Amino acid sequence: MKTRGVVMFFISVAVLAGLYLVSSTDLVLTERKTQVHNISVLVPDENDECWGYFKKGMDAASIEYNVDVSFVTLYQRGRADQQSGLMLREIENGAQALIICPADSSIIAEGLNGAGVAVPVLAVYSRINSPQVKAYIGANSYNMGESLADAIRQDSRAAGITEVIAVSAPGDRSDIDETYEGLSNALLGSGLALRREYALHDEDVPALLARFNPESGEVIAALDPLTMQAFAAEVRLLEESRRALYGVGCTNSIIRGLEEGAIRAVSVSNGYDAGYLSIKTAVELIERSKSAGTGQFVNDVLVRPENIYDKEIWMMLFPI
Amino acid sequence: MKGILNRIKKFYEEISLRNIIWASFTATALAAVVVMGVSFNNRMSSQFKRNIQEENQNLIEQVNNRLASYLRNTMKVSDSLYYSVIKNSNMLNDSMTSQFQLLYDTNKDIIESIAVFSLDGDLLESAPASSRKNGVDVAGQEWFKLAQERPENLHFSGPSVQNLFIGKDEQYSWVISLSRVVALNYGVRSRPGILLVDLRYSGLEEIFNSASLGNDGYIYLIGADGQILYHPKLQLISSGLAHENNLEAAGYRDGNYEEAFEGVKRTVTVKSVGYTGWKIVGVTPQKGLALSNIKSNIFFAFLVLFLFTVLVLINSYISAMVSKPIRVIEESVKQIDAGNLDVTFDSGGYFEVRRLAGAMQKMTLRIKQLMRDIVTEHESKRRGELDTLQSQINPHFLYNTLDIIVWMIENERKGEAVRAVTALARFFRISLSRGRTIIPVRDELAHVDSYLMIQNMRYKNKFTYAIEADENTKDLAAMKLVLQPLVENAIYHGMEYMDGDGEIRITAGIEGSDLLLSVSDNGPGMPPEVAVGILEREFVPSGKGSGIGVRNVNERIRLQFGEGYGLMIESNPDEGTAVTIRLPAIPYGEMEAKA
Repeated sequence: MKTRGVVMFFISVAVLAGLYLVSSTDLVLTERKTQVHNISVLVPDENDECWGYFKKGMDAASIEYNVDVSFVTLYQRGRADQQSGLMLREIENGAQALIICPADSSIIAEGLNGAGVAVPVLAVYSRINSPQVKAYIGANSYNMGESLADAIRQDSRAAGITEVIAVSAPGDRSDIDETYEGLSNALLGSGLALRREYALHDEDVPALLARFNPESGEVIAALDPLTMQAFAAEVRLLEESRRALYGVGCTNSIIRGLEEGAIRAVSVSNGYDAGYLSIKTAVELIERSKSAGTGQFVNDVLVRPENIYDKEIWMMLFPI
Repeated sequence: MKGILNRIKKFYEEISLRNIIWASFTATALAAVVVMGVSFNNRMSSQFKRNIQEENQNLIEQVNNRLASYLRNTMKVSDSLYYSVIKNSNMLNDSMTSQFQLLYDTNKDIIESIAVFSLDGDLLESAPASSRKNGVDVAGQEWFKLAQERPENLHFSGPSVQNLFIGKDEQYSWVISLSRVVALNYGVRSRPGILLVDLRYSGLEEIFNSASLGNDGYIYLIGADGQILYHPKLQLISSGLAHENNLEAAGYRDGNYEEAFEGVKRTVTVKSVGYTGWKIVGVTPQKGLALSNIKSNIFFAFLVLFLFTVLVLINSYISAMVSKPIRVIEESVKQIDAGNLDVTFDSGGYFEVRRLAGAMQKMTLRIKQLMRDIVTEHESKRRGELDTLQSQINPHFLYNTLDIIVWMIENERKGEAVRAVTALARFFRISLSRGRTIIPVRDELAHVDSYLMIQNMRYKNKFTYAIEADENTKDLAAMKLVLQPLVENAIYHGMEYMDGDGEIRITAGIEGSDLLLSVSDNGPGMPPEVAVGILEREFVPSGKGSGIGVRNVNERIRLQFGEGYGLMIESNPDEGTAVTIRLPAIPYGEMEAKA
C-alpha cells in the first residue's frame, strides 16, 4: 500500500510538472506569435499610376494579415527581362512570396523555371505558365472584351463606327489576349472591321493617334489599363470629333475622360479586390493553408457616361 | 447484479477506517475544489466579460461623443452660413464668396466644400470656388431631395462621391453631405435654395479608426435604414468578399446583444447618434471576451490538480494520524486473539482512544484473572472429584468395613453383616451416583446414614447419631459428599475420645431461601480461631477415614453455588463442634433441568 502511495505521489508530481510546463512556458505549446510576411509585388509598368486601386486593396490586406509589401515597378515599361531580374532580386532580399503581373508571361515563366524559385508565386491579371505559379487572381478578361464590343456595337450606328483598332502593349499577356478574343468574337458578324496595333513607348501613342481617323468611323479600343491611360490623356486633348476611345482600366483621369465624353466606355475590373485577394492568397500560400492551383476572379463592370454616377458603380470606381 | 452488490458490500465491510477517512475527506475536498474552481473561473470569466463590455460601451460612448461633436460642428458651420451670411446677403447685389471662403478655410480640415444651389440645381455660390460639372443632375441627388422633403430640418446623407464640381485636380472624394433649405434674399423677395456642406469622409474614418475594440473587434456606423455608412471592410462588403449583419443591427436598441453571425458568436454594442438616427455598432467576437485560451484552461486544470494533490496529502496525513492509535489497538486485539494476554494497550492518541485503550487493558487483565480463576476452579473441581473418587475407592475404609463384615460373618452375626453390606453398597452407590455432582438431600442424608451405620459398627457403638431433616428439605438439591467428610471429621476428631456418650447430630432445614445442613458433635471441640483456620489452610489430605477434607467440601460448594454459600464451623473447647453447610434452597428437579 505504501509503495502504491509513493508511486501515485510521483505520478502526480510528474503530471503537475507537465501541466505547468504546458500552461506556463513555451516549451511545449508555443503561442502563436504574430508573424510578419514579406511579399513583393512586381508590375510591368514604370509607375503605379494604373495600380492605385490595386494598391489600396493590397494595403488593406497587408494590415489585416501583417504583411510587409514591396511594390516593384520597372525602369522601362514592358521590359520582361528587367522584371525577371527584379524577381530574383526580391527573392534574394527575403521575399516569402511573389505577386507578378508579367510584362511577358513566356519570359517570366522561363525565368521562374530556370531559377528554381522556392517561394510561392502568384500571377495577377495575366497567367504565367509555370509550375512555380501556385495561384492566379484576375478579371474575366474575355467578358471585359465582350462588354467593350457590345458598347461599340451599340454606338456603331449612331456614331458611324466602321473599324475598331485594338491597341495594347506587346508581349505575351493572357489578359490582353483574352480581352482581344472577347472583343473580336463579339464583333464577329457586326460588320465592323478589327485591326490590331501595339503601343509600348510614350511616342507610340501620338504616332498612332496621328494615323487615327475617327471621322472615317475608326474607334480605338485600348486592351490594357496603361495603354488606356496613355490614350485617355491624349484623347482628352483632341477635339470632340476625334474623341472615340473605348478601353479597359480605371484611373481618375479615365473617369474624368468619361465625364467629359472623351471616353465612350470603359470596362473596369475591381482592382481593390484584386489587390486584397492577391495578398490574402499569398499569405495563405506561405502558411500552406491553401493548396496550389487556385484561381480567383474579381468583378468587372462596363462604365459609360450615363451610368458613371450610379451608386452601385462608385465603390468599384472609387474605392474608399 | 446481486454478485456486484455483494462485492460492493464485502468491499465496504473490509475497507479500513483510515481509507474511509481519507476517501471521505478527499472526496469532500475534491468536490469543494472543483466547485470553487469552476465557480471562480465562471465568475472571473463573467467579470472579465462584463469589464470588457463596459470598456466597449465606454469606448463606443467616446466615439459617439466625438462623432456628435463632429456633426455638431458641421451643423454650426451650416447655421453660421445661413444665419450669419445668407440671411444677411442680397443675392442680387451682394457676394457671399469671401464669407464662404472664410468659413471654408476655417473648417477645411473637416469640410470638403460648401455650396448653395437654387431649386433648379444651379450653383449660386461655392467654396472653394469652382464650376459645376456638366451633365450632373444636382436636383436628382439624394441630399437635394432630402432637403426638399423636410425643409425645416438639416439632413445628413451619404456617404457618396462628390462629383458636382470641376476641380483643379482629378480627385474624387467621398463625402457626407449636410443639406438644408435656405431662404435666399432677392431684394424684397425670397426664394428657397439648398445649402450644401460636404464633410470629408476621411474625418469620419479618423474618428472610427482611432477606436479599437481589441484584436478582433471593430466599430461601424449605420444609417437609420441599416445602410453601412462606415465599416473597416466597407469595400470588401460592397463587392461581396465580406459580410456584415448591419440590417439586423439596425433593429437593435441601444445596449448589448449576443448574436451569432456566420458561425461566430459575438457581442454587439449599439449606441444611437443623436439627431441623425445613425447607430454606432461595436462588435466583439466572444473568443475575445473569454478569459481562457488553451493555455489558461490547462493552467486552471493545473491549479485544480495541484490543490487537489495538496489536499490529498494532508488528508492522508490526518487520516493516518487519526487512525494510527486505533490501528495500534487493533494490533493489540489481534495478539489477544492469537492467545497473548500479556499485550499492553499503549496506543496514545486522543482522549477517547486512550480511554478505549485503558478499558481494553483492564478488560484483558480481567479476562486473564477470570481465566486463572476458571483454571483454578477447574483444578479444584478436578481435585475435588479426584478426591471424591479417591474416597470412593479409599481402600482403608473399604478394607476395614469388609473386615468387620468378615468378622460378623465368622461370628455368625449375619443380620449385622447383611446390614453392613447393604449400608456399604448404598454408600458406594450414592457416592458414585452415576457421576452426578448434585443429588437430592434425601440421597445425601442416606449416604451419610450409611456411612454412620458402618462407622458405628466399627467403633462398637462408641457414639450415637441422629439424622433430623425437615420434610420439605428432602427434595431440595444438595452437593454430593458434603456431609460425609464432616461426619468423618466429627468421628475421628470428636468421637475418638468419647466412651459411648459421643453424639453426632445431623440436621437439614430451610432458613429463608437457603438450605442448611449441619453436622454437630459433642466432642472436645477446638478454639474458634482453629475452627476458622481450618477452612483457610492448604488442603492436607487426611490419612484417616475417607480422605476428603473439610476445605475441599467448602471449595466445592463455593465453586458450585458462589461465594455466599459454603461451610461455617463453630466450635469451642469442650463444647463440641458444629459445622453448618449453607446451600441455596433449589428443588432438585429445577437443578437437574438447568443441568
